[in-house]
This record gives sequence, C-alpha cells and structure tokens, in this order.
Amino acid sequence: MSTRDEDIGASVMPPDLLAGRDLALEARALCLEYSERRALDAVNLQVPRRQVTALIGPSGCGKSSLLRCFNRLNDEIAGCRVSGEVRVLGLDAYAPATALPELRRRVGMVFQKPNPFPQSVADNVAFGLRLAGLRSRLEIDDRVEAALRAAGLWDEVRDRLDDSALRLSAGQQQRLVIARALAVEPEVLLMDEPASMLDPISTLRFEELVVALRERYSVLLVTHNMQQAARVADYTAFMQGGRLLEFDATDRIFTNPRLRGTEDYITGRMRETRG
Amino acid sequence: MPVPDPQPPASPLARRFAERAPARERRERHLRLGLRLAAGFLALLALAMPLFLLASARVTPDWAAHVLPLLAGSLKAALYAIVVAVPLGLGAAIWCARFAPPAWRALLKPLFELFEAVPAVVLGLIAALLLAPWLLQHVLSLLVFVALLVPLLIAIGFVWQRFAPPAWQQRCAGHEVALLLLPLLGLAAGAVAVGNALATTAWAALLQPLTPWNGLVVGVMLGLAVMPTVFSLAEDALFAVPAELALGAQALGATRWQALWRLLLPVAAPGVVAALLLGFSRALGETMIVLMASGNTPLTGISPLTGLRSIAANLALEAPQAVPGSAGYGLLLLSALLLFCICLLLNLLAEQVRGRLRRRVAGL
Amino acid sequence: MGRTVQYHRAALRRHDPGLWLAAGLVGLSLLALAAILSVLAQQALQAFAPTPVAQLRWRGDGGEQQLLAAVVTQDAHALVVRGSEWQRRGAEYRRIARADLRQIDWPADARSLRLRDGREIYLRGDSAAQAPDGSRLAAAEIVEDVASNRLGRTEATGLMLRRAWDFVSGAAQGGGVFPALVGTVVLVLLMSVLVMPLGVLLALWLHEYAGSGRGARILRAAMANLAGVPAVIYGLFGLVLFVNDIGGGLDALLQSATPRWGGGGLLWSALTLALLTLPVVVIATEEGLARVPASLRHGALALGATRAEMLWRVVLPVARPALLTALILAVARAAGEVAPLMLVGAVKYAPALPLDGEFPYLHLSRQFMHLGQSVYDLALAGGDVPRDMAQAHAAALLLLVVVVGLNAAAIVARNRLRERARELAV
Repeated sequence: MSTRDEDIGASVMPPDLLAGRDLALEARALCLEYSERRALDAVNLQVPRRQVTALIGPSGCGKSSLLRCFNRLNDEIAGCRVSGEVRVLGLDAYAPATALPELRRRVGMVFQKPNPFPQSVADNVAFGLRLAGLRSRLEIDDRVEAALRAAGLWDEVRDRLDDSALRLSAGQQQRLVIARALAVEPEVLLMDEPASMLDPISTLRFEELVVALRERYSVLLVTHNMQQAARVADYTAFMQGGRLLEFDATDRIFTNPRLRGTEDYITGRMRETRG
Repeated sequence: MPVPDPQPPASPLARRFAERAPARERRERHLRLGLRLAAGFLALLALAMPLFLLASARVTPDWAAHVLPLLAGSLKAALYAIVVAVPLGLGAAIWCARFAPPAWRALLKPLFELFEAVPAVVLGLIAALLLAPWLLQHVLSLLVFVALLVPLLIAIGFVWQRFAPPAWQQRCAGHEVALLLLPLLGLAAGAVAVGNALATTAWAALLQPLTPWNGLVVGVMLGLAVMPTVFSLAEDALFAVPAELALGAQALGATRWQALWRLLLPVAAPGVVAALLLGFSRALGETMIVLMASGNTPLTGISPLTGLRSIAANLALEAPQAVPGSAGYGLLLLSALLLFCICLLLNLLAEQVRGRLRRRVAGL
Repeated sequence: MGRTVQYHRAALRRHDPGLWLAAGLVGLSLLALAAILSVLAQQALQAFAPTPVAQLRWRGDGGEQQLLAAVVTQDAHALVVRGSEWQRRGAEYRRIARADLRQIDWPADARSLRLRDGREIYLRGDSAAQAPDGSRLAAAEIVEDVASNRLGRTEATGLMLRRAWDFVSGAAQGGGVFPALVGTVVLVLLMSVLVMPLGVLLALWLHEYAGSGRGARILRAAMANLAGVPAVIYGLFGLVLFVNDIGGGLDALLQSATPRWGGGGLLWSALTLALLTLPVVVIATEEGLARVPASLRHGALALGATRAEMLWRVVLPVARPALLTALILAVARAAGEVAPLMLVGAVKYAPALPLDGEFPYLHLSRQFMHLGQSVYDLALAGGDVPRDMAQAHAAALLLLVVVVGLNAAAIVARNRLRERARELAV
C-alpha cells in the first residue's frame, strides 16, 4: 500500500519541490466518504509554511472537503468518515488525544460566505479572546485593534466598533472574519473561496491582504478564479474528482502544466473568462 | 500592511488558551452530562405516563357496563364533530391552498390558527348557554340550511359565471368568499324563517330534541373547535404539492376543480387522511365542550338528539372525588388508559400516513 | 406570473362548481367565527350594561301587585324583573306574563343603588334607602348610585367601562374575577419557570448533541405523541403521580394531620401544565435552533469554541426569538386549558390567593381559582342565574382576549424570527 502512495505522491509533485521547507499541513492517503459518496480519494498534499498555496479544480472536486479536514470541521457533518493521515503543524489532527479547540485555534478558517456573528464589530473580533478568558477591557481593545489593523479594516471601522457587524459591506465583513480569526493568533489560515461573493474592488483589496498575510501565516486558499490563484499563490494544487492530480509552483503550473487535464481546465477557464 | 508576529509556542495568548483548556473541557463535559440527564429524566416521565395509568387501572367484573357507554359517548361526540369539521376544514383548506390569492391566504391561515387557540371552555360556554337553547327550537332550520347550502353555492357559481359581466368576473376572481358572505347570511335567515313556519308540523315534532344538551350541540361546537386542526394539516398537505402538476392538467383543458380532484387530491390524500385522523383524535380527547354541552348522561344511542357522556368529561367530573384505591378509581383509570391508547394509535397512524405524503411529494 | 393569469382566465370561462363550494365553506367558517365572537361580546356586555328600572303593576296570585324593579329580559310573552334585593343577592327575580301586566312606566327619577356585597336596591326620587322592615342603609354600604333611566350614551358607556374594570380588578364585590385572574397568572408564571429550562435543555440535547441516535429518535417520537395526548389525561396523570403518590407520600413523611400536599394545589397544577406544554416548548425551540444558520455554528467552532461555548455565545442569542415564541405558545396553551386543572387543584372558591404578603408569599400547596374554571362554574353552577351567566361570558371574553393576544404575539414573533433567519442566511 505504502509504495503505491509514494507513487501517487511522486506523480503529483516534482520530487524536490518542497525540499528544505517546513510543512504547515500535510495529508497522506487521505480518503473521505459521505454517507453514500466518496469525496476524497487517497489525497496526498503538502502545504509549506508561510507561503500561499492555492487549491483549484472544478466544482464538487473535493476542495472544500479537503480544506475542512485540516481543522476537522468535517466532524460536524453526520455520516462523514475520514481515513488516512492529517498532520497539522507536525501533530496528528485525528489522533484521539488531539484537543479540537486548540487545533482549531491554531488553524483559522475563512468561509465562502462572510459569516460575522450578529454582534457588534468589536465583539466579533473579541469572540476568540473571550474564549481564552481575557477580561481586561484594555487588553481586549488593544488586541481587537491589532487584529483589525492586520486585516486592513481598522481605518474603515474605527468609529463603528459598536455597530452591528451585519451592517458592514460584504467585503468588509469578509475582512472582519479574517480579523476575528487572526485575533486568536493562528498559524495557518484556511480560506474557502473567500472572494467569490465580493465585487472586483473588494476582491483586489482582499488579494492584497492575502499576500500581506503570507509573511506571517501559512495560507491554503481554495479558489475558482484562475487569475486569483496566479496572482496570490506561491504553489498551486489541481484537484479533480476527489483526487489531487498535480501540485507545483504556481508559475510553472500556469505556464507549463505536466498533465493534460490541468491544462484543459486552466486554458478552458481562461478562454471562458476572457470571452 | 503591518502584521503581528505570532510566536507559536510561547505567545501570551497561547499560554492563556492552554491554561484555560482543562476548565473549558470540563465545562463541556458537564453540559453534555447535564443535558443527557435532563433528557433521560424527561423520557422516563413521558414513558411513565401510560405506565402509571396501567398500574392503577383495575378491571372489575362489571367494567364493561361502566366503560363502554362512555366509550360510545366519546365516539359519538367525535363522529358528529368530524362530520361538521371535515367539510368545513377540508373545503377551507382546498380553497386556501389552491384557489386563494396570496393575500387571502396570508389572512386566513393565521386567522384559523388563532381560532384553534380559542380556549375550549369559551366554546363550551357558548354551546351550553346559547347554542343549546337555540337549537332546541331550530333543529329544522338547521336541517333546511344544510340541505340548501350545496345547491345554493353551486347555483350562485353557475349564475355568476354565466351571466355576470366579464369585467366583474375579472375583478372578483379570487374573492369568491366575499361574494358569498351575503347569500350565506340570506340563506341562514331564510332557513330560520322556513323552520319557524314548519314548527307546528309533525316533522318538527319528530326532530324535537329530548334535552337541550345533546349530540347535535356537541357535534356543531366540537366540530368548529376541531375544524382549524383539520384545516391547517390538510392545507399544508395540499400546498406542498407542486403547482406545476395542476397547471399542466389545466393546460390540457381540465378546470381547476378537475385538476384538483383528479391530480392533487390523490397525491395529497395521505396528508388529508392524517388531518382527519388527528382531528378525530382531538375530538375524542376534548373535554370542556363535551362536559358543558352534552348533558353527561351515559346513553349508548347513536341519535344526535339525545345526550351522551364521554370518557374525558367523565374523568373531569369523577376524578376529583374518586378515592385512590377504590374500584371506581380503578375503572376511571381504565377508561383513561383506553382513551390514551386510542389517541396514541390515531396519532401514530397519522404520523405514518404523513410520512408517506412526504415521500410522495419528495418524489415529484 | 403571466402564465397563471392566463390559466385564471381560461378557468373562468368554464363552469367550476367545486371552487364555489370550497369558497362557500370558507365563508361559512368565517361567519361561524364571527358569530361566536359577536355573541360572546354581546353577552359579556350585558353583564355591565345598566338595566332600566320600571314601575310595574300586574295581576298576581293575590290580586293586583306593584313593584319598582329592573327589567332584566323581555320578550313577546313575558318579562323577567328583579326587585330590590333587601335580603339576599339573586332572591328577587320575578317572571311576569305580558297578559297579566296592567301598567308599565319608566319613571325618570328612578335610581338604582349597588351595594358593597353586590345586591341592588331600586328607589325613586331623593328618598333614602329604607328596607321594608324599616332599617336604613349606611352610606358606606353603597358603592354605586345611578339614575338608570336618565343615562345618556356617554354616561352609560362610562358606567359600563367602570363596572368592567371593577369586575376585572377585584373592586366588584359578590362576583369579580380578580382572584381567578391572579390564580391564572401565578399558575402560568410558575409553569413557565418550570417548563422553559427543561424544554430548552431537552431541545438542545435533541438538536445539538443527540443527532439521529436511537435515544433521540425515541424521545422525538415521545414528544410528538405526547403533543397529541388529551389534556385531561395529563390532569389524571398529575392527580395520580403528583397529588396522590408524591403529595400523599410527602404528607406521610411530614406526618401532617390534615392533607397539605396530598390535595390539589398550585405546585401540582403548575407541574401538570409544565408536562402538558413541554412538547410545545421542545418543538418550537428545536425549530428555532434549526433556523440558526450552519455558517454561524461553523464560524464559532472554527475559532476554537467548544460546543457549549458555541451554543451559549452564538446559537442561543440568535435563537432568542424562538425561545420567546416557545414561551408564548406554552403560556397560551396553558392559560386556556381547564380540564386538567379541575383534577389537580383549581377550585370554585378559594379562601385565599396563592400569592400574598404572608411568608412564604407564594403558597405552593394552596388551592386556587382559575379563570377558565370560573367560566365553567359561573355557567353551570351559579345561584344568581342571569347575573352569573352574564359574568361567565365576561370572564370567557377576558380569557379569550388573554389567550388570543398571547397567540397573536407568538405568531408575530415567529414571523419576525423567520425574517431574521432569512436575513442571516443571505
């Protein structure tokens, strides 16, 4: 079995692509089944630390399912079974001893649809801090400000901290959600098509933010948008039908993919968006 | 853009999280345990209900003489109630789900929901003090009204569609209810007049109730009380059937009524049957209306003009005085157990049938 | 949309008897509803309307008689009048056939006095109230002095409103619903305190923890079926379990000579109603929990919240209107339910309120009066029939207003909740 896994890994990725890099996330022979359907089939993926890795592929290819394995949010779905190995920052995510809250604190997540809580802007960002038992108003305010600055939202909301978060625009909401995740000091950020609901200007700002975050965080970004992957990602993985087919440096995968399927997907997509 | 530097193992926040983790985990465990205990306790209580009845019920040799007339009374009351409730509830549901414009539906649904909430004791009061003396004089009028109702409605529809100017028809489409209110009032007045005119004939003497509190009064008021239950369940069932089904049939030349009768009703039939079953179950268990308007005489006749005594009303009357452990107490609990089982059976049956509806609609 | 209109027209051209039948049945239902409400309101008004006072002369058994009396009802054959109640409330009703009536006047100077204990005395002119045996009424006894035949419309309305308020607030002696109202309110509050925590916990367990396990399936089925069990069975269950078993056991344990807990009482009634409304609360709360968008739950979990923290900080605040709806529905159901209470503690006349200034203030083992029970007793077991019947209708109207108001509030709250859920889901 293991040799076959090695084979798949080898065929997917140039052998020395990530040589010498620390790994933030790693999946080995990862299979995932919903009650009647297999969503992931022996996926091997390595996500390097403090880089942006993009995950592309047609709808329903298992990108989101894969993403949700890294913070075990799949546990929430009834009838979902996972086998294989998932390592997050070197620790086995599915080991019985793993404390889920701590795992999820270290692996922040941004969803496709902005999901701020129906509370004030400040309370949204302070949500995770309060879980840690922080009570001092001063300390919370400082940390809220730092997180909002890091998410590039501070200047827009500094006077509206007590307003309901639902009144912000979609782009602001999405950055608020990032600030909320950053406030608990994660090391990895999972992003599930985070810009798909945003207008072009907000998308641009969002991409700038992702590039900036790359300095401190490891980012795994699921996207439908080829140009977005090309603009922000250092590495790109291509998935289809529950399998990871190709993983390479972004410029290489977009200029010179090794597989026919990858090329079809990328070029077809590009022609479509130009037309 | 400045980004704060997370220092993985030793950041103060991470330490705070680590310190609090055991307490949080403990709280989570306690909540889970507490919830499970509460659920278990309540499940036990729910299951205890029939068991307690069973444990205290007693079958004496003459149980049949005590319990069967009560059962007959319950069934009789529920039967007449259903006879009143089903045409009203089902007719209203059909119109609301299939013919009414959204504005009417938005008005009628909450209105009938509110009607369902009217306390039974209020309806019982009206039945006992106002309806009963009135019906004592006017059984014949009621009969005339019911007999003429259907022909009148159909005739009005026919005349309207044949002779009314198309512009009026256009404007009034969907508001047929408002058009019919006046004729209905007229029919009621006419029926009372006819009833009074015939009051001295032999017919009237035949229909004279022996007592003001009889099955007819109970049936009318209990039927009105149960009608919202039938209405809302049947309406839900009919509304759940996709409209395309009917539109397709109408495109083929069926009238809306034909489309409803041939296509929608068979699909929605399980829901409608469930509505009937639940309505019957509710009528069986209803206490206050029967208690106040039935006369509470344990007769077994089926005639609507005689009184009755139902299990539920009997419980309300006798249980407060019953001495625990006596034979009467045991018989009371036996009758309660009987009622409980019948209602439970009807509910389970209705649930089964509704499940079938859900599958059918999902299949469309 | 255009298609619908087209079919509409097509159908209009054809004869469609069923449609008219269905519409007629809707109309009939609406008319029945309107009739019930109007009859109830009209009868309830009669309880407070001032009755005209007449000077009557008629031929009785012992020759010609005359009387100053209030005319309670009259029809083509006879009138029912009420003379001055010097002795006892409800003792002076008289039925006079129209054939025997010689003369009937409506003197403009007629007055009717209402006494502290609910009796009424009729007088003419300025004369002081003097009983047939010569005794005089103390001024403090008289609570109302009305010139019955000279009342203008506004005065009559004012009088009716004042009497209605006295009836509700307890100022009216010899028949106010205040004790019953207090009993109902205290009972319903106690029931809410008992049922809400349990119901919400149970809904949380069912919806958030149990998933679709076997225990949850059994409990869900039990809840659905409990909702269909007749209310009077709950009353009997309360009688057997709470009153006879637990209450009797408590009395034996405390060795009290008189049954204190072993009889019907406030606590047992509240527990019975709590059991009765539990399915309502659980089902409404579960519906509310289901409407909390999954994205919010996942958002909270992804930040590292435990399940308890997610529920407490995100789900429950969002579902708060649903909890409110559940509470209102439970209260509406409980407030209108009478049959089980007749078995476990509501009585026709309770000497003391369940809530008063004496320690421990809330008397859990006391019997109490209930609005619905009052309606029943006034209607069927009254001594002063015309007044009691009118008051039964007034009490019923009050009960109806309370219950329907609560239900309307629940419907509004539910609709708002649905809108809000839609807002969150967008």
